Amino acid sequence: MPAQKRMPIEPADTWSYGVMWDHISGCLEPLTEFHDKETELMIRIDMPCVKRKADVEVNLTEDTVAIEAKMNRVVQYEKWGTFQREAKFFRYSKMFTLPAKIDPDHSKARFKDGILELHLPKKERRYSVKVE
Amino acid sequence: MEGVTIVETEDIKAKKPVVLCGLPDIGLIGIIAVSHIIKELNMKEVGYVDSDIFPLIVVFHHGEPTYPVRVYQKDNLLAIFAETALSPESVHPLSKVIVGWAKEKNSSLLVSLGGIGVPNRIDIDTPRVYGASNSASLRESIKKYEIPVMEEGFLVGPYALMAKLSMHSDLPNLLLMAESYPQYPDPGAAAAVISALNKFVPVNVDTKSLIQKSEEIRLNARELMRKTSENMQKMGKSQEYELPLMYV
Repeated sequence: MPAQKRMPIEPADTWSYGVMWDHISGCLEPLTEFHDKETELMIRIDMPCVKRKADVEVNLTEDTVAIEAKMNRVVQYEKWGTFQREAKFFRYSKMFTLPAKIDPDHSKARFKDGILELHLPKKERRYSVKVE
Repeated sequence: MEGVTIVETEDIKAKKPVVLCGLPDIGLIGIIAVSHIIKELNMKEVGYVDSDIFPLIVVFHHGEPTYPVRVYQKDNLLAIFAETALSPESVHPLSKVIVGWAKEKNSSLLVSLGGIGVPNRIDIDTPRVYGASNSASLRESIKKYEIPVMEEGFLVGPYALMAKLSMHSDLPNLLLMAESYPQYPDPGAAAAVISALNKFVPVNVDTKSLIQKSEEIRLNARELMRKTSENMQKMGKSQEYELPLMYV
């Protein structure tokens, strides 16, 4: 398990007006979809321009997920938004604090068409109660 | 200004026009599809939609300020296209105005292009398109073209209201909805919906370039998608995953 990188939690929230980009570090916040299921947490992350799974890094702890991914090219905008400045983006970054403890050792990830799908089994033990 | 107004900046002369709607919804299907049709057909901007309950936004294109919800025309094809997220409060008046305006234009058909969020979209190469209509003959056509008809279920959002209001206005309404990522812009699903539209309205728009630009669209539409997802949640979009009581 690689050591977790130092990254701000929910990086976009620390930027102005909650935007999903940081032109200084060339970083975009990906769109994410989160499903809290009975036995697992499922997270999907949309990262267009990321082509190879080798360019995706997922770091897990029992209660956090950190994702870093490199795009296959630098996406350059001549006049970015109302800033009207040149902006270049080449990576995605996102960190989640999870609502339940997970088992990082049994977690699974797959990557297809720029979408990363994480299946994170919940750590909590469940007990069945016999209904009498 | 009270409510929503469609302002025609050009004299719109069209005979029984087909009106296409591309509004923010699941996967931004309508917006992506209608925007692509507008560009491919080189449709002309002929008006805009404005309201004091719309977001406080003006859009600049090629240095020129313009309205974020606009009306386009080419011959007997009209298109209404929004490039901003719309609040739940604006959906009812907007839908009402669109249906009233389409009726006033003596429209032969009001088409809503949208998506149905499916959890396994990642495993679907060619999204299926579902159809729905208030017209029995259109429902027959949907079947004839081998498009599954939406038989049971709820629809939530602007297209739902337009479908409902069209019934009372005696305006034929066609809904084409492709299987889509619920919370990501989905150009692949937009291409599927355009292919289905071609069967009813021969716009003859090629979708190859849309697929080629897929990554660029997904990248650029992220923020609009996020705002749209937030609004959809407020609209109770999750009800689309519930079964109507009459089903049992």
